[in-house]
Amino acid sequence: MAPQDIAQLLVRVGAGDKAALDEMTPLVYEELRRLAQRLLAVERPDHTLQPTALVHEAYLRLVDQRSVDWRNRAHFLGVAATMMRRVLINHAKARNAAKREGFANAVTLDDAFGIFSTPAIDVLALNHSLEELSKLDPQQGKVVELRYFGGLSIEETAECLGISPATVKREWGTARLWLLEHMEGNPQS
Amino acid sequence: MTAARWGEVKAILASLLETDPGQRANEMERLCGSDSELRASVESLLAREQKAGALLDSVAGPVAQMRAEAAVPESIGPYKVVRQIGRGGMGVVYLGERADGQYRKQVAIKLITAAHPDKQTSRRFERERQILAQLEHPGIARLLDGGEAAGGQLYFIMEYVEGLPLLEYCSRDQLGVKGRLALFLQIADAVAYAHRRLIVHRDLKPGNVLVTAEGQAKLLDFGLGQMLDAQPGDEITQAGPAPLTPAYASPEQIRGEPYTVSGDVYSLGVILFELLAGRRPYPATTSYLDLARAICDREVPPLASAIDATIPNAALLRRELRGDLETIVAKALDKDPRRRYVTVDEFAADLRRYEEGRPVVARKPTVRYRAARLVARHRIAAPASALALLLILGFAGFGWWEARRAERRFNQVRGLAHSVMFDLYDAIVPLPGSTAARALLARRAIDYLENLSQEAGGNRSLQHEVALGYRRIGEVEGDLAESSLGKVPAALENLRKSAAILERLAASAPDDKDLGHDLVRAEVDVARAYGEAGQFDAGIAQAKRAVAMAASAAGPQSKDAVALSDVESALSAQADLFSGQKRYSEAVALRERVRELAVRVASLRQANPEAKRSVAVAAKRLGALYGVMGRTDDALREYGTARLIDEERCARNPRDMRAKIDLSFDYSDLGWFAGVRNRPEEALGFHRKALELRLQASQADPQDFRAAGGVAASMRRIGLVYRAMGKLREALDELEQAAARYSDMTHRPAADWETVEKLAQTEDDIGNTWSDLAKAAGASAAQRRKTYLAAAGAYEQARGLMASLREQGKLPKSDWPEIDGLAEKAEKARRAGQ
Repeated sequence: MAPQDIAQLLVRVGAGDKAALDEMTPLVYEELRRLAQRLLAVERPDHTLQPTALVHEAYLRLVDQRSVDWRNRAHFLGVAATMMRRVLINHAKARNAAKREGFANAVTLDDAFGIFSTPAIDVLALNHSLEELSKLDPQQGKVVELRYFGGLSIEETAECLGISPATVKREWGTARLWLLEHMEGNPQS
Repeated sequence: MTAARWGEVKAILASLLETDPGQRANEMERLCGSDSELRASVESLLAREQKAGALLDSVAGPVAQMRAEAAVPESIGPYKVVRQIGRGGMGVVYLGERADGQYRKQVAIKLITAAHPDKQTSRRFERERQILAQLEHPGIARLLDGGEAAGGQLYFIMEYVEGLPLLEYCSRDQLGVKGRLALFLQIADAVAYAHRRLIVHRDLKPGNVLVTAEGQAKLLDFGLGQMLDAQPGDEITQAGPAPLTPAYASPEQIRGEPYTVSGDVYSLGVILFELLAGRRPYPATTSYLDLARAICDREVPPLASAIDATIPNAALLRRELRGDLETIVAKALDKDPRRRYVTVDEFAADLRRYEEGRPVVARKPTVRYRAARLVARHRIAAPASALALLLILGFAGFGWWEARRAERRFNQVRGLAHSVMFDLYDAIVPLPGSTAARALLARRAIDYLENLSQEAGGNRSLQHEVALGYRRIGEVEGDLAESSLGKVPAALENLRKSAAILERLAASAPDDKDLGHDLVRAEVDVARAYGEAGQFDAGIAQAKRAVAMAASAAGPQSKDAVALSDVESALSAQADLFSGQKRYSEAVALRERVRELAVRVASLRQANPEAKRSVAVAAKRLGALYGVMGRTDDALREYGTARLIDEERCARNPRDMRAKIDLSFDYSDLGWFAGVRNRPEEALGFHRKALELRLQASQADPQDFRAAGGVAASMRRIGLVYRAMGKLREALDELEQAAARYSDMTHRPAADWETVEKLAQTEDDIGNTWSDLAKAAGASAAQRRKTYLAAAGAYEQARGLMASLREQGKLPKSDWPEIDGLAEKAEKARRAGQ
């Protein structure tokens, strides 16, 4: 699916076509996944001045689409964040696989994605801890997914979950501490 | 932990996070009560607050960062952003225009979002940028400017190239082998030009080459890879090695080994392969690992066999590619960098030989070589077969091994000399007290060079490299001269060697502009070195030659900025030599021409900040000369020009410390002129401005000895103006501060005798000021005596410093009489104080 198709579907979603949203969700995810794989498989378009990170394009189109109406947008942001989380996890797994094969220093796979460089944090470990947190506190888990993996602001997160920005702040602030402790292998669970 | 328990912990935690840190203990007490387990949970989590802020920062989260990048800024630095034209691994590319309306020119703005620079990185960036800005070649998109954007990210301003990517251009115009080779040679020449300036590309690929409507190939992003490479010492925080595009990366690059010129040779080989065969040597596989393995291990397929059989005229093309072209490409793509073309020049030369129907240098790999490679690849596993191979090959084989060893040694020496002269030397320059080590390095490098030049034989590009090496050593020794004296003759000798080699090379290639440029530079260096050694007449003669050579290379009405700059620097050297002999009227005529040329060059290179700086420097130096000759009005006019330019440079890039130092010298000299013209208030104003700038530079880098010295000098100037105004208390205040700074500097390892002498001079100033104060009306006799004693103390201090310099053999003879003068002054003041 070309980015134009996504754009077209988005226009339909914007016009209130609920079916279009359902239709595009799997498509967009598939597209993101396919692009991610392609990028990993070296076929990075080699023209510098061409948008290379199509994954970003697709995602950004989704998230920053202003024409989508309020309710749909909230739904949308949620779907998009989940998709992005999966893309990131798959990417991290692929990179670890590459490392295991002894090519750790050979190449910055990160570069194919750009945005994933300097991973100060182990995404897989974070994901694992987040799964645990979600069992304990589903809403808080969702806040982290939207904020960290979806890149959403406090306000957008609040909008998406239908809670107040103050609550989002509290959930996010305390979740960070819990996650860090859990990741450091000192879970109080 | 249960969900309910977490609910409890979370509520308390949230409340504590909103509590002022000072109040937290009380609040915790109140909220947790006697539940010590609850309290322990909360405390353990709370202890991670800072770390969590740093690690799990949602703003720095990968996706949030990406969204921030997608928002197109209105402007970056002084450039207006028109629209986004691309996005890559390192950042975003925009089409931009100068925002100040100075002239309307479109530029490409590259905003680096992948790495955030720390102070050290941005300083290095600034230095590298200045080097890259000097790459002027029709085949290289110019780097025009750069700096730090409002968000702290680095940006580059590049020449905006309107054109098609290389492969697209070739297929659109359905270029044949000849046309493709012509384009490729343009690219190779551009890369070779940069290599001679010791800059490698690191990410050569067809996408980095645009071809304009006029058919000119232009390389993008030259040197950026090098510039953005991780810093020593920050491996932990930075993402791994510099970015690369695997399909064009050499085996050693894939393995993460240090990047060399040979890597660019290899990448060019891949580009040529793709240009000719229509596909890359190794098919795009489904995984990076497969490709990496292929690049490192698999034999390069013959060029002719790689072409797509379904294209029209495939058979014809195959026949054209078979033979020499195939061999040339294979040599460029050899897995072993030592068996590739040593330089891009050699690669290009072989292609030209092919075009002209002459025999090429590249040879088909022999069976023996392939067998040897097999051994090399399985070195540990196959010692027996290596032995067997040697036995089978007998003497021939032995000779071959010898030859290989010699070649390897040669390349090692070449690499080592390079690394010693450039990387290592640069790395230790900032180290305090490294003078001796630097001298040693320079000596070692000379040994290597001598070796190299003997082995260079008929290899022109190597001779060129050796010549640049000698020049480098000469420069190094010249620098050493500043701090340790006595190296001048050696510097002169090496610079002359460099010039001699270049002259020989240039004689047989009169049309090689790069060579001509390097030759002029070498001649100018030699002329200056003569001056340093006190041989003014020889220097002037040499400089005249350089001027003539540069002028004839540039030709009349030249629009060639590089050639004009050469004339400029040759004239400037000649002017300095005249000045050194106090032949000011001859010097001033030359300096006027230099200034005129600088303006012309700047108008040709509008966007180049270095060119503007050159105008300021030329104006300033002309102004200083006018000043010495007593032509104050002319001097002030020139300084005014310099000041305007430098003020603009500072405004454009407030972090440009070099511009600040430059401007501080403008102010300082203007302050001196104001003092001479008896305008003390104006003088004070200028000196204070200079001081302010120097303080900024000194704070930005406390290790910067020059900046620290500048601060002290400005304070001393201010003190002296006060003294001239009769404001003696203020004068003493400033002079004491200046003395304290100089004194502090003398304890630093970088201190030299001049710092000590300046401290002594400042103590002398202090003594003079105390004496003035003693003579001032209204003081009681007792006060007056005390004041004279203070003056005596300062004079004695100054004398002691100078005397110790003389004892250490560091004081030039011309300054010796000052010691007696100071002793006399001290004695007189002491008597007056009794």
